Amino acid sequence: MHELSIAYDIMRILENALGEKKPISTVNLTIGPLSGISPDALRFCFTEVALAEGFGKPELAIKEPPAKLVCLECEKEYETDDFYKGCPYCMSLNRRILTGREFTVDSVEIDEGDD
Amino acid sequence: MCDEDTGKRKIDIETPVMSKNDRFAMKNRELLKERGLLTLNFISSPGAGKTTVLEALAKYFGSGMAVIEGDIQTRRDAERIEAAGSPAYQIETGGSCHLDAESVNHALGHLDLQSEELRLVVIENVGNLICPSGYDLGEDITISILSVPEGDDKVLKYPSIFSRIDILLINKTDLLPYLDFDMNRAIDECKGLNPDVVVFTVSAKTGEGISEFCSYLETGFVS
Repeated sequence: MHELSIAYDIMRILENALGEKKPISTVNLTIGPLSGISPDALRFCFTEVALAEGFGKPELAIKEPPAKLVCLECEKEYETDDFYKGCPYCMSLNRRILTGREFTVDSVEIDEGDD
Repeated sequence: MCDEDTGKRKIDIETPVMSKNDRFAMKNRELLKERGLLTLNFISSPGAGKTTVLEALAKYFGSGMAVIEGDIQTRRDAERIEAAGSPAYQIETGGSCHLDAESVNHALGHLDLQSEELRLVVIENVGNLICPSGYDLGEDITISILSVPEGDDKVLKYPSIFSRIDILLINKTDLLPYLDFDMNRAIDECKGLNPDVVVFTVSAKTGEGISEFCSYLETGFVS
């Protein structure tokens, strides 16, 4: 459970990108299933941290793309966020992970009235 | 970009949240490479035997190894490593559930990296299978210890760590006769998630498998 310190890291990224602290209406993030980050735990603390840090009460919009894998038996690519399930084509659990560790601040939205 | 209908302006940022950590990780990697040192990051749940494995390594490598210990509190682990024969520096995180590359960078400043004998730097992370998985510390090899009493089903429960490790050490093999641990299941599930993982089975308590593991590490030393 390190999402609180992660929330503060995100505030530093916002401050650097915007050049100042200002109210934000939406923060768009991407969190992959292998990033080690719990989207729910981040949502739980994010608004409080944003408010305390001078960014208003932004909505947190999280994109959670599935991981991309390649099956080492049938060599087909597939997507999943459930690692108990094998390849959807041949059921094999032998796979190589291609993506899934994404964790980025993609963009922010600001109400023009606040600008 | 301003959307006329909603009155909202969108600003692209496109920044990895771990970018600050990753910059420190790169600094650590460059520093350690420049000194010709092999660096390991040990990650496991609390009680899997990280410190006991490192005590066994300290007996084998002596002053050829230096250890950075990460714990929430106390210098206990660093004292154990020093007593076993290797220098150690303790990071007390004061509540944080993982080490980050910046704290490791600071700790590296407390180790004698110029020592003629030194070949290996080992980082013992805070006992936790989730939070450390997102933090590159600048290591060459990431190692996870899974101990027999934890059960053979843990790999797929914590895919973020077991999918990124280079070595899986299965520890406490001396307890296999007493527990229902299916060794093939644990290894197969890890290889199914991470086909390149190298597996060693050890008992840090009896010493079984430790010299094979140490010999493997020596092959990665810069001569």
